[in-house]
Amino acid sequence: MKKTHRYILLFLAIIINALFLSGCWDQRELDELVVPFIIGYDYANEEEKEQPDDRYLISAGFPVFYEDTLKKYHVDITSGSLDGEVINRRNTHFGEQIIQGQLQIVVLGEELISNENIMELTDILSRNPAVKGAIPMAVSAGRAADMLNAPVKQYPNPGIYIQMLIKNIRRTNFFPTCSLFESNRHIISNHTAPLLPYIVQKDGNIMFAGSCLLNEGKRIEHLDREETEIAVMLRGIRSRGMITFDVIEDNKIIDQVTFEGMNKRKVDVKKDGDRYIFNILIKLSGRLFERKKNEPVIDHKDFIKLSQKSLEDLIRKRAEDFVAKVQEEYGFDALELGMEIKGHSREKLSKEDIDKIIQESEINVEVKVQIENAGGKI
Amino acid sequence: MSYTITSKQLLFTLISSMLGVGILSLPRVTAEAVGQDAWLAVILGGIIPFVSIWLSNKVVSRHPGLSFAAITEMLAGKWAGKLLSAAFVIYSIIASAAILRVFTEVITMFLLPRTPILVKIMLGLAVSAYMTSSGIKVLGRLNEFLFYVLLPPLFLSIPAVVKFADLHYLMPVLNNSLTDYSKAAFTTGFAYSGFETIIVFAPYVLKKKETLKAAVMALIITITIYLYAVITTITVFGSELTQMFTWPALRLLSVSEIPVLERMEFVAIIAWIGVAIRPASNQYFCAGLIIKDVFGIKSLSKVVALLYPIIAAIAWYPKNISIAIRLSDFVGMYSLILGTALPLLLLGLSLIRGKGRARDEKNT
Repeated sequence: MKKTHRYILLFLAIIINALFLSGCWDQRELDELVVPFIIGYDYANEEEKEQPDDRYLISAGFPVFYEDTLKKYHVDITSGSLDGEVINRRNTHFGEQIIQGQLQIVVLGEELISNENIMELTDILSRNPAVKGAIPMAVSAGRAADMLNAPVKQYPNPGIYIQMLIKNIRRTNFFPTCSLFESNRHIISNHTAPLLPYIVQKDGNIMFAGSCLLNEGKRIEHLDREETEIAVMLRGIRSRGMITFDVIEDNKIIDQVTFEGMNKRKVDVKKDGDRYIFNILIKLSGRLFERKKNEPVIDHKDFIKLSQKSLEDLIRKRAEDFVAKVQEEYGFDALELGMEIKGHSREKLSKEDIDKIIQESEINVEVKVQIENAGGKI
Repeated sequence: MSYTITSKQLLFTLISSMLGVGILSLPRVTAEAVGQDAWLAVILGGIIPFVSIWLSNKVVSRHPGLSFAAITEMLAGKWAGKLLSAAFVIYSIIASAAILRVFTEVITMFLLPRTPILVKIMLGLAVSAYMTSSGIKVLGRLNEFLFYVLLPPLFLSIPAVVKFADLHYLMPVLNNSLTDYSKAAFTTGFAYSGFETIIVFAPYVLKKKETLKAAVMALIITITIYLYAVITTITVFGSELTQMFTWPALRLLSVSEIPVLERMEFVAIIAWIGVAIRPASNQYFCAGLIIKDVFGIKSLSKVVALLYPIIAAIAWYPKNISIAIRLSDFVGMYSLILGTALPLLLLGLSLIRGKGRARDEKNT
């Protein structure tokens, strides 16, 4: 082949490639896109239904980028029989194309999640590769739509506020976060009930008020703040937080202190015949954050030791109460032991098997507190 | 044979032939077969390619200086030899098309959902055709260069592993029957398909003594990368959840976020495009080279141009992703059969002919 022929062929190839530039089919103008960053799931009330068969109501919070608009945040509420139908209908009253890739948070209405399986509700998100698996989820007291519309004083919109709240809660409180992927992993791989944070509206604010256990993907139990902290520690959800407690010496309260630190869990599994024995060790390590009595810590040579012991006793008592509740009242795996059980059994265990093991096993709790320092004051 | 490759280039060419799109679905197929023991299926799956590599090297080393097409014709006779070459050509064409189609499906899902499949196939194949027509030396160098492109996407899964991996998901170990493990080893066929190309590439290696070592090293590197992909995916998702994702190795990248990059799966896919095109190009090259040798065509480019519409049509044929996956499964099985039966047959013929020749020489 002559050199000129090669150049002609190369030129033709470039022209054909340019014509076939695949980006042409997938190109989208930025101005024509809208990016929801929070969505809420609820049941549709009669007056909210667009069609009689509609079941779900999906609210989506969008930032508005246009300059001359009254609001910079818009919540679109649309009903449908399935998520896909809602999205389809939403497109009929939305000028821009909706992009799901930037979704930051999913809020599930309390009533809906009490009756519907979370995996079925969020199937559209798990199926869409544009939606990240790390997207966090929360259960709202009342309807999610109301939560998305709630006025928040110090933030531009509730979407950003809830997102920040959930992102940081594990760094400041012994509270759980649960992403879409973690929830699916608990249900499918571990046969464990996911623990989702529970948010409420109070005095014009959106705030955390504990958590929710979702047995078989449905909300079954609401845990208050104290139970949530213990559940987080028992499940080994790594977080940081503060606990205020009384320091006890010879059955007498000698002081009140605040501990600040992080938690870890270690589980030891044994089998006595067919019966499982779980020894859960909760480890707390951190510092003495506050002390009521204005006395030097070194004045009492055993003060740190006593503080550790008092906190250990307190956490152990609460943990034992929670374990008893799980075994006697709930009857399902709320302690994230499913994975341990499956790892130690050569039989293929179903959810029912795991639940039965949880109910019948011996679960012991040990707590070890390590107070490393007492801050900048002696 | 006017062109040669170094043993190092053979190593990267074989890795490139095996390592492409199969890695993305490998955790799912192995977890479906043997659950938490999926990693064992990866190791067992490497046995057949190892046997094939050994046999192929034996065949090629007994006939130095001859290409694959020439070896088959010399050992099996003119027409039977051409038939054996044809079997390899058909396999390579289908394998190239299947790899390209699966590659296109991933691109469709993650990057270009609205672009017609045919356009993506034609563009991907155009790149392959260009690589292929440049000859074995360029292909060898590209395979080596693109191997290093693969490494950064592999490490992108580390944040997810550090944050979420749990070794309990690999327990209990050895909890399946021997039959299950054997079946599982076969299910890895598509992931390992490409090892059989050694019989085509080996005759071009400069230092023949290093061929086997390079090929075995290529297999070990591939097994190691596959093990990494399978173990990381299963320790994060658990074997049950792994089975629910079409491309679990990619999904793994979406479970954690790192600052600045945020969505790591898209970064990985962009880097991976260059990686995934290599096995299709290598198979394309094998088909083109064998046809060129069998028919005595001087220009490889002409054969490549001739094959282009055929491969594009086969890649375009599957109507949906499940048919595309079935096609890739078929390629996996075909590669295992072809990769072992063909060199075994050729070695058998070579031994028989060798003995005959020795007897003739003795009689003379």
